[in-house]
Amino acid sequence: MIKEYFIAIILGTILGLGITGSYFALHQNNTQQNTVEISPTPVDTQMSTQISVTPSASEKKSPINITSPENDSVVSTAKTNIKGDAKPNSLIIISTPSKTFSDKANSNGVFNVSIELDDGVNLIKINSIDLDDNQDETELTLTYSTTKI
Amino acid sequence: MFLFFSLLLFLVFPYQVLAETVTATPASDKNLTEEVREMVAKKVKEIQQNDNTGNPPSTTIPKTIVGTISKIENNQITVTNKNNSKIVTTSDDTVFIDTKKKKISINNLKSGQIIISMGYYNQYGNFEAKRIIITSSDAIGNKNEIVFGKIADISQTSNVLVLIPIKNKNTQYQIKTDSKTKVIDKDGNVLAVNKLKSGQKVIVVIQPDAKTANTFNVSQIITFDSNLNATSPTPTPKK
Repeated sequence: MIKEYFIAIILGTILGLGITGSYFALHQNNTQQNTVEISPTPVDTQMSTQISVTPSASEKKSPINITSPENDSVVSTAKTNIKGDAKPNSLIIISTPSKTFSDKANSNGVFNVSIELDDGVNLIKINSIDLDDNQDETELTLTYSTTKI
Repeated sequence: MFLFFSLLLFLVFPYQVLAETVTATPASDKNLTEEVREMVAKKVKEIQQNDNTGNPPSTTIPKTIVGTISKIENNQITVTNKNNSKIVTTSDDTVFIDTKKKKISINNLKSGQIIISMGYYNQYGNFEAKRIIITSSDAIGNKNEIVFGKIADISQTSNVLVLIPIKNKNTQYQIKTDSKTKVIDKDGNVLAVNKLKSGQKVIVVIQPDAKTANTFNVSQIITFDSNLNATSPTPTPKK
């Protein structure tokens, strides 16, 4: 009788250890999965790569980027310089309501074109034509006013 | 014996599950990366919507909001331009000018009028107008069209040439030249109009002719091929 009790206790202990072991193993598994998912280091690395390399088609910006002056600015002198970048060696054509100016972007695509504004609001059309005959256009609004604001 | 093997299986099984799920984590990591990419792209787009340059509006540079008045409420004017509405806030210091350059008050403004509002963005991104001028649509537009194309034909009897755009070969422009038409090459050298040839690639700056339909007046022609003889060099084109 004592022998049977002893066997039952051993079997019960083994069964208990088995259940406990299973529980901890499954729990550890879930914890590891969570740790992998929220780990910031690999995500950050891939995130920065994504921003600079592959914007979606709908978010691709115009090949012409105006760096100065800011759009919708009021300027107090008629002569101003339009600075920006486009495709390398593009021909840049800038049209104010009454005048047209042209120049070339350098081998890095950077351009700096001196223009003369009309009085008041100037809706400026900026076109670039690259070496592959691609034409792109962007607009810039500048207001020439000598009135102190 | 059977019980022993059953227990052994029961103990080993969870570790097999563990091994399988650990090898599956790269897929979930990839999904997470995609999710983060989408979130970042969305945030970048939101920031870019603040301004064309991608930066929030400057509070120190005087700015202009141009467009048609769509609503006037208290001291706020809603200005719409190309389906984009902006709110202009006025104050007691704001100066209002009509088309005859006379000072008026905000009460003289009406929906449908075209205005030029000059002022500054405050720290909260609200535009505070210092000066509002009533104007006309002609004063804020630009009728010039810049077309890059190939000369299809040059009339021998009139000063008209036909241009087919590179972008759309199914369209053609009838372009009238006159004594004011300036022809230059892409280096800025001035050329004579009669040096233009059929088949040549050119960039033209044209405006619709008010009198003749489907005809355009050209103010400037820039030759894209450098095979013509220049008459004199000019570093910066000026009118």
